[in-house]
Amino acid sequence: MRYLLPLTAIALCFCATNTMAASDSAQGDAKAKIIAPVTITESEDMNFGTMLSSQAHNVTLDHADGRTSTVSTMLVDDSANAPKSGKFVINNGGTAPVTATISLPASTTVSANGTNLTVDTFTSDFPTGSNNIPAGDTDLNVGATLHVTVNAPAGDYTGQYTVTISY
Amino acid sequence: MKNLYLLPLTAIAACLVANQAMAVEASGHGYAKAKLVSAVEVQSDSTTDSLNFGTMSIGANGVVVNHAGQRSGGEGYLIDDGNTPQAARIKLTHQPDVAGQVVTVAEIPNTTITDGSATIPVTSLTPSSTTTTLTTAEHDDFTVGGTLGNTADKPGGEYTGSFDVTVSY
Repeated sequence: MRYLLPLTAIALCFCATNTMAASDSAQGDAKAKIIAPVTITESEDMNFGTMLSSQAHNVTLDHADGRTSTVSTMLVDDSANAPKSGKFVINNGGTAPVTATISLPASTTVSANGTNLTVDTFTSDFPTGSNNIPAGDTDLNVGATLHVTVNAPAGDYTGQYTVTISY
Repeated sequence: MKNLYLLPLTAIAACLVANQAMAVEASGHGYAKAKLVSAVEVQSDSTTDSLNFGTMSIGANGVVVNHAGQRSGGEGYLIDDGNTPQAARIKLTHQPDVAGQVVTVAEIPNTTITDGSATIPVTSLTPSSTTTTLTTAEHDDFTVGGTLGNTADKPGGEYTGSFDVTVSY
């Protein structure tokens, strides 16, 4: 009996509430923000150009197709294989700017005939940290440093790297 | 009270983590490349490839040997003997991987030839071409001619010397 009494009281309470009910309604808002995707696509390969490996040297490519070497005599002027910065197109498919950060790889390798050469110290012409990506296309230029080991075999060295944009 | 403040802070922290997880990323793959080529060597055999002004009598001035090895100037002083004049031959020795590469010959500095005591200037050292496009052959050659200065008052003898050729590519 000690337990029945409270239950009854609760039931009565519900009945009383029912007889006192009034109705009202309101509309709630539901919303979502859908942003157009931002894509990044390579438009030109990064090319360190033509060089010798008689001495070990480091070739640095800047953002404007320029290059330097720690041993300048190792660079070969080859008009058929001119140095080029890596180039990407960032496309903001929306109508408003998007705040984004660019992430570059720490390093990668270029290879030929079983020989690997390290590419690191990637740089871009975007300031570090957050950047406003305007609607439409924006160019991104990427540079890096190639480490040529002494007497690395002649050949066409190729490799891949990834640029990531977070927004 | 202490617990009341801890609860909202915990909730905010959880919210921040959730926002980070919602960041969107897009990646683009790029290609990097470099071309390594073997070195080009500049060679000249002093026994067979030297610039040779031939034989002349003392007093010859301004004897020229052109790129084809033809001698001129020094009229009245030139002697035709078995010491045939010739232009220097410079060999650009290389591997086939540099075929197509254009090699540029820098200006060649003047030099002198000597018999061990007297010297005679050699000037106007000029390559047959200031540029050479390398082929798949083992070597590509060019020649160098020059002008020998005044031999007046010089002792007779065999005069020798060298000159430097620098190429860039």
